[in-house]
Amino acid sequence: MKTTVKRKRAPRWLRSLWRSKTGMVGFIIVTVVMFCAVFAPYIAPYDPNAINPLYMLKPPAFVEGGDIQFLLGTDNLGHDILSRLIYGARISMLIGVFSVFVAGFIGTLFGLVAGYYGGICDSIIMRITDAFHAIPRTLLALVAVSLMQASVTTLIIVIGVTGWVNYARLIRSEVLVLKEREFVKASITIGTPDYKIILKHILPNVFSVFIVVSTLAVATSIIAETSLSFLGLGIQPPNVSWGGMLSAGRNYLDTDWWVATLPGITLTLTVLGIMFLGNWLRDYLDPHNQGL
Amino acid sequence: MADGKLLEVKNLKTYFKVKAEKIGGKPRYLKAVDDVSFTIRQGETLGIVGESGCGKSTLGNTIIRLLKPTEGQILFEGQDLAKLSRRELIKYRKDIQMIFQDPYSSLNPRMRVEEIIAEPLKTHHIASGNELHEKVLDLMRNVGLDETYASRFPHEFSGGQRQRIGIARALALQPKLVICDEPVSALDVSIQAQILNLLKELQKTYGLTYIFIAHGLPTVKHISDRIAVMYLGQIVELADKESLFAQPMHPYTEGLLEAIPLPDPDLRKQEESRDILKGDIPNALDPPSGCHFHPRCPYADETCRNTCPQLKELQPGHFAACHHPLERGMAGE
Amino acid sequence: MENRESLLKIENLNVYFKTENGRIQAVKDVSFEIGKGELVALVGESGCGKSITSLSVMGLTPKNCQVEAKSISLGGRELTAMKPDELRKLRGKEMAMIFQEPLTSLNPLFTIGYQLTETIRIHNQISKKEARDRAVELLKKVEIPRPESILKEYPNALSGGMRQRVMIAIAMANNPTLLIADEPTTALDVTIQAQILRLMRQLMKEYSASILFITHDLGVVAEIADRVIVMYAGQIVEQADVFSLFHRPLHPYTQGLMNSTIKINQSDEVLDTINGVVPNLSSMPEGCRFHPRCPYAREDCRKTMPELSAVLGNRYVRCLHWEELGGDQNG
Repeated sequence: MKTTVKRKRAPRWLRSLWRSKTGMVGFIIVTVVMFCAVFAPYIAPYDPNAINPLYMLKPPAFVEGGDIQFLLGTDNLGHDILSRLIYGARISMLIGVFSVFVAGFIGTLFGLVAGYYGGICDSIIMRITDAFHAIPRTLLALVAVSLMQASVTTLIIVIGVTGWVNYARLIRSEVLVLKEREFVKASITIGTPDYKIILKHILPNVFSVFIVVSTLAVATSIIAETSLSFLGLGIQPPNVSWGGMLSAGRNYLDTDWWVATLPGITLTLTVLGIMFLGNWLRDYLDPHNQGL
Repeated sequence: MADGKLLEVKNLKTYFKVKAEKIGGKPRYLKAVDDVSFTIRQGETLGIVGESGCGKSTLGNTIIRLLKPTEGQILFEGQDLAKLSRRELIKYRKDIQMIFQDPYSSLNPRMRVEEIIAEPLKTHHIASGNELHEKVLDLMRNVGLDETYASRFPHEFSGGQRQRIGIARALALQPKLVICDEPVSALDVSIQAQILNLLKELQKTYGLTYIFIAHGLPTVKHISDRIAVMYLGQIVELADKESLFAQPMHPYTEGLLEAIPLPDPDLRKQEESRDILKGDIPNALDPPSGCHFHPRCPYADETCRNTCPQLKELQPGHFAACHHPLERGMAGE
Repeated sequence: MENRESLLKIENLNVYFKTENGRIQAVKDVSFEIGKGELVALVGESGCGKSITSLSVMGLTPKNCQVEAKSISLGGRELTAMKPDELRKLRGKEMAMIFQEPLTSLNPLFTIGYQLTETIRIHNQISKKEARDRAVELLKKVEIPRPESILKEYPNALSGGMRQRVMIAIAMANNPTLLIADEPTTALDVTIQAQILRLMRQLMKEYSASILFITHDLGVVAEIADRVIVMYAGQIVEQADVFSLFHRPLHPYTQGLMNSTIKINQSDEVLDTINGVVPNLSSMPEGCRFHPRCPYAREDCRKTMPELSAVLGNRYVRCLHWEELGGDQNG
């Protein structure tokens, strides 16, 4: 019989993160991107919109013909790509996070109502989600953006409103399970009003699902923003976004690959990082994995 | 504690609609509770016993109106609960409470013990602030929980302790009737005894009336005054526990008694000769014709196959639903 | 009865769990034997280590488990020295296991017939047709009505009792010498339990197999066992033949278990209970592991861990003061 020595340990989430290699990678990527987004003006070497006709289409510093002044090269207008990527993180994160708020709010509300009340309510809401599923999301967004002024707010609303369906479905299925749990039944037999049961017993218990879906939804939203910007319906200059950069660079793909490829790589890494973090979060929040 | 009726259940039916197998086919009904009637007197314990699928839990859930009955009456102190809407029911919720089977699923994992026990008191505006806190601690003491545990979460407790929390929550509103739905079957043997003793003690202190639902006859016998035996949605026998055990009248009750393993190896000598019930419990969706028990019954005849027997009072206080009730029980001999 | 030839012999079995908070011992120094044709019941409450002991014999412990034993031998063959592959060949042939919930051990996507014939064919070089005949034979042995049509059914179509019969048929398919049954009747209704217990007894005689029967139910033990091993907190606390054990339980824990079991033929207002709760594996009490719950605990119980000592001829008990404690159960 050995007694375990108790010493001060890192918090549980950090130890768990450390053990999951992909989770750690995701965590680092997301932290870096977040940091760039928040402190862009302080870390970006140049103004992202500063046009420099002397240095147009310079390759990255590590490629032959590159200039150490522009670490990741410049685009067709002489914008510093590194600075633009750093500023681009702002828009991507802003849209990613806030559109998820919108989608999460609408989706959770509908999911809760459909799951908890069931019956006709449930049927109607679920048919609406089916309908939303049937229409391609980008198409819907395209129509909406072309009807409204393209701006960050518009994008957030458009991406959010088209993204609530997944929330509604997942939250509903969670609620259906929770509704059968005995603590919810106990609360009904006590005479607790419905809204209190939802707020105190259902909502806190779907929270972990909500968080996990949300991280993954941030990734999808970033991609959605990129696609819209790529199609020219997203962020308009002088605002910088990764999608806009991709779109601007596509004309130079055969000659000056870095203009489009670097934002592409950044986007891919970021989305991957968020996915990794989300997967880890899902395992971490699963009560079965919390040592009893 | 006069001989007053507290609860009278009359011809209660709870059916579940099951989707038809073919499109356009007739929907089928699962008759989980099929024409059940009984009364409970103030202060007594009625045990309801039966095997899986017999409808005992559905019966409990219907009485407390977690489920809506298809037909019949639930007269609680003369008021029919069967027809009340959820809103109208709130008044009566205080008087009927439930203790659940699974101590792991019956407590919200994200609430502290104190919040769990306080919930009913808050909902009915019985106490608040310091008074509420005191009341919760009182309840905890009464069910044998250390009051220093008030701020812990359910997962920090063992099954038995969790069940005590559930009991404290059920008693918070000083109910008149408590429905115990298999409250000990998920617990270890030594803990079962603790909880059963606690339930008995609380019944004395608060003058509670219990409906005790379980699949184990020994447990039911220990705690009940009267016992109802259910089989496929119906009560097949209902009697005082002494007379039920000494003189079972329904062959199913006899079979159940015979099947209980006794914790005494000397009693198994008759093992080979012991009559054990043959066959499986039929699918409740498709119960046998006539008496539902006839395919397993050693005494079944033509009448049993064709007509369903009614629950009749064969001796004072002893009801059975059988065409050929047993004259003398096997158990006493 | 005492001089049976030994079939399974376990010496000094220790099982550890690796967890976030270090290594936890789940089974401590367990040694026992099962004779040929003997039914030994392993009794205890949840977390006492009874299931993990049986899984160690089968070599089926979960990944985070460390099994250490001086020896585990089956019919003279040492299992601890075997490679996983050799052990796998032994499983299903020499030793087989049935579980509490048959639905989780049957694959829902295959018919009963497929699963049964596969088991037979893994260990025997016979044709599909022969295997099928054997399967029908087996289903008849476990008293399944209409075996031919049951072979075509999927597990979901069967009742709990029927599934357990099928599991028993699969377990007995290759005439194992040892059958380990982990709470095989706990999930079943009492009338079905009686049928299954009787069936197991019959099959055991017919196949002259030995059974290690794991249960928490003393009623089932009294009904079926030849010999009983009582476990508490990872250790064996008492071992005796079933009659002696029920006539005179020596260990206070066994006594407590018996007293808290409700007897249908006597009526007590208040049940005797064992106070407190089962200790956590990670924080075992010093000395005798039962002392915090023991009504007779004294000063030395808090300090000295009692040995499992041979007493009264053929019994074992792990208690410092067993002689002074009457234990006159059932008079």
